[in-house]
Amino acid sequence: MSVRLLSSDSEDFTVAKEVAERSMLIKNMLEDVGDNDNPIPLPNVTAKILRKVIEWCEHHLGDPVTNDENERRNTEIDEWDQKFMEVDQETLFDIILAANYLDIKPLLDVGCKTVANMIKGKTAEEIRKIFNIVNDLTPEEEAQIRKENEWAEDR
Amino acid sequence: MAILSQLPSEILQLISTYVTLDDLFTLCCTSRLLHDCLLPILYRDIPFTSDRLVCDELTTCDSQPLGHSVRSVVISCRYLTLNQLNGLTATCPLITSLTFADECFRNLLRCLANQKFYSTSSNYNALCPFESRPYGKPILDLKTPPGITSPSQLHAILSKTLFQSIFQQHPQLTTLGIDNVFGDAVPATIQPFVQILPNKLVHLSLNFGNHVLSIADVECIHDQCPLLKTLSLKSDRIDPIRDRQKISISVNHVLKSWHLSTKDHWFRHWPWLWFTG
Repeated sequence: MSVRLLSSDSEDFTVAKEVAERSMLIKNMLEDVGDNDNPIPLPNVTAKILRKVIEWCEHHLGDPVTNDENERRNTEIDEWDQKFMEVDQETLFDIILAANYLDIKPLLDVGCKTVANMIKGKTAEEIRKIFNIVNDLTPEEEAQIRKENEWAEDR
Repeated sequence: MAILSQLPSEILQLISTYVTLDDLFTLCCTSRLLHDCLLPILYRDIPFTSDRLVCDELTTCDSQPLGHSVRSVVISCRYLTLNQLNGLTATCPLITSLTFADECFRNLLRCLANQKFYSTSSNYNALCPFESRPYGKPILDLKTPPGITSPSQLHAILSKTLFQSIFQQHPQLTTLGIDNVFGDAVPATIQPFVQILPNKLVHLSLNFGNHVLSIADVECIHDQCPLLKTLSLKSDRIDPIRDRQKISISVNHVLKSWHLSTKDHWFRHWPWLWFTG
């Protein structure tokens, strides 16, 4: 059984049903519409990102589905996923957005963990540089924020 | 092009749950948007170490009290007063996890017991005004049982009264830790206390001091809180298990982690070892 998916830029993808069903959104859609030859339109996902997402779903097809939130949260990113996530920031964020939209929790986790790893141990200035964040806080505001929340800093 | 600060707030918040508190604090200092979005996450889990709650008088960017974002509080200040406890409940009404370190709770019980015991002399202690709500009133109304000859004998009954009110005020509690349940004086039986535990608890950690913990106590806790996933008990001494056939807790599949800590000699209690194994 295969399923057709249509990206936002109108590229048609044909994938195995089990692969597509890693997405809870698509799984639920398929349950609703039943067997049907029409492609499923995914207006929030471009072909470039959809290709990446499908690649991930194919690789992780046999993964056991765990509902234990703690277990999912605490596992480290495996080597294949690390390689998979070695993309530019824009693509990384687009994959995260697509995983969120398509409701693929394990992929969303991997994406968020990847971003979290880029943040860990950095100073505010380093984080601004890495992510191109404009500092719109005045020095007084930043000092105020640091003062109000200093309990969190030395824990 | 998507940049970090353009991600929807729920994704930013999800990412922030994977970093340490330090990093979360740093993120809050990088820009106004990240500050506004992540501040409630920073305040989900707060310590209570001085006489002031860290979220007192702070608000989120949409002017909601920041205390409403708090889900977990660890109380480890040396002296805890009823008024602080009142303040905690008023400021952080939605907590699901509450932990009392040993010393603060023991000191609170001592203070309340002294007041209660000597209250005939109307010698009110300004630290713990009994009329204060919600926790003062039930303690004021508490009838001192006959035969009490020292303040410490009141510890267990005060503890029960206080926790009964806490559980009423915080029906969402799923995690509870009390590092010293009964202060200086352990009661003859812990079951009256166990029977007030909320039955929705998922994680429970209790230190019963020098109470002799029996398997019946453990079963009583288990019956009272059937949803427990982790249970950690501490008791100086344990009662030998005589008939292990009657233990039902060992077939409980909900409980994933169970830990017992005691000063007793394990070799005298091998059935407990088998049981906790």
